[in-house]
Amino acid sequence: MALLRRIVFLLAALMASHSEGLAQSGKVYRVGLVIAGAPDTGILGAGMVNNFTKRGYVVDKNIVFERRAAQGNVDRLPGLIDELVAAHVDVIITSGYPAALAAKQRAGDIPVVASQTGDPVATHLVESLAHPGGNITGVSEVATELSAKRLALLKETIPTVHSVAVLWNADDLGMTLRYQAAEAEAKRSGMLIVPLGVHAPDDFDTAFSEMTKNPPDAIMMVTDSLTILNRKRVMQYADEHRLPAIYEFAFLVHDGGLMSYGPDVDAVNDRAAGLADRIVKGAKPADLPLELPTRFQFAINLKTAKAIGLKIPESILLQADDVIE
Amino acid sequence: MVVPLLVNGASEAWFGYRDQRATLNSRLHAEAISAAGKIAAFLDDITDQLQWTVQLPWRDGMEERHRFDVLRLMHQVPAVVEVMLVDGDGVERLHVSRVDPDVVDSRIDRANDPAVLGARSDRIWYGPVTLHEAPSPI
Repeated sequence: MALLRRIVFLLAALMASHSEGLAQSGKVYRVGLVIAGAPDTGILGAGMVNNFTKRGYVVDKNIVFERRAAQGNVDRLPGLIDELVAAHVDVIITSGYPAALAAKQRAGDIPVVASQTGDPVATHLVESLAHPGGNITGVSEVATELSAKRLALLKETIPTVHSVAVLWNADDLGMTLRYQAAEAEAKRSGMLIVPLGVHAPDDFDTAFSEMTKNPPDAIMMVTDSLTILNRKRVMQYADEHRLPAIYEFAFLVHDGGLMSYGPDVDAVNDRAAGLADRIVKGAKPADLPLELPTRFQFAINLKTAKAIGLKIPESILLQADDVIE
Repeated sequence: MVVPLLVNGASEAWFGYRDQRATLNSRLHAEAISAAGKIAAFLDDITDQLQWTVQLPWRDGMEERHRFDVLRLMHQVPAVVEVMLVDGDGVERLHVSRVDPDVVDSRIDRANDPAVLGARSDRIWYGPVTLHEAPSPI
């Protein structure tokens, strides 16, 4: 089996170059976790703890977690990173671009594993995916490409869709790149983007009046901590005006949003934990290439579809991984 | 008396090092074989699923049906990120991707792609395993 031989050769070469220390130690590893959003959500939740326990860690025996949440106020992030540095954590895991940026600026020598940052090269978090350099590695995103896919899915769901209002956090470079990718795809496919950049919760009111004045055919909500914090208002507006809307993560569809498409977040967080595991055991972030997501999730809420009078085509149902009825 | 001790110490250190390397190498080799077996099984499974999808050759007028077959395949096999269907002349007729918008009927001539040539002569063709900007092999 020539294929098997080829795989064995490549794997053996990979393993030889990544030989890890085999020694066990009685050390207690300290893992910092920081996000811009609400406590107990995302990587601050139980899922991340499981990602470590399944790798052999035992909470409070050989691993301790230091959790920090900026609760929507990104100005707090640098201070939170300083707290983690003062707590002598061995590695910092971040979710979202603002937290990653604060970590890059304030974490000093402490290694950082960043996830859900948008395009980490375009936002200058790392030099390249293959050789990040510096003290940051993580799980990259194909997020800017997914913007195009999201628009295509909207179009397949509602073939008559032409104008799409895009809501995004205009202060977040990572999110702005996603809006720009949507613009590019819309031009290519003959759709029209209505840009509704927001900076603060009050801006949502302005965005809603804009949409009332010039009703779009659909909404695309670029998802970060600011838009997540205001998701209920967006969903309510969409419901009241019978507007189809696409988000980026399945939890928003469970919350009432119509559709979402994005990387499988549980898989991303698991990969982030895997990278942190290697780092605390001696690997250098500069040498650890960023990983790309390989699993994606398409979620649809049929209750919401019914509420806005939308019939979902069979081809879309076939593509859905998560259907809420 | 120092020199023989030094030589003894050095040769012990040398042989000790060689033994450790040998143990490490055989361990790594065993792990590589085990992992390779898992990858081969994984690929065999995908191959089986793919064969169902391309049982029927491309037929004009059956575009929807072909797309549905591919969507069903990708639903069953989350590991598949994209599928390209070419017709009897090696021309691309459908490109379904999880990452990019689907491309229907691009008519890109892929008759001379290694993948197409390989699949035609050997029925199945495996691309080179590459590391594409990430440690997970594509």
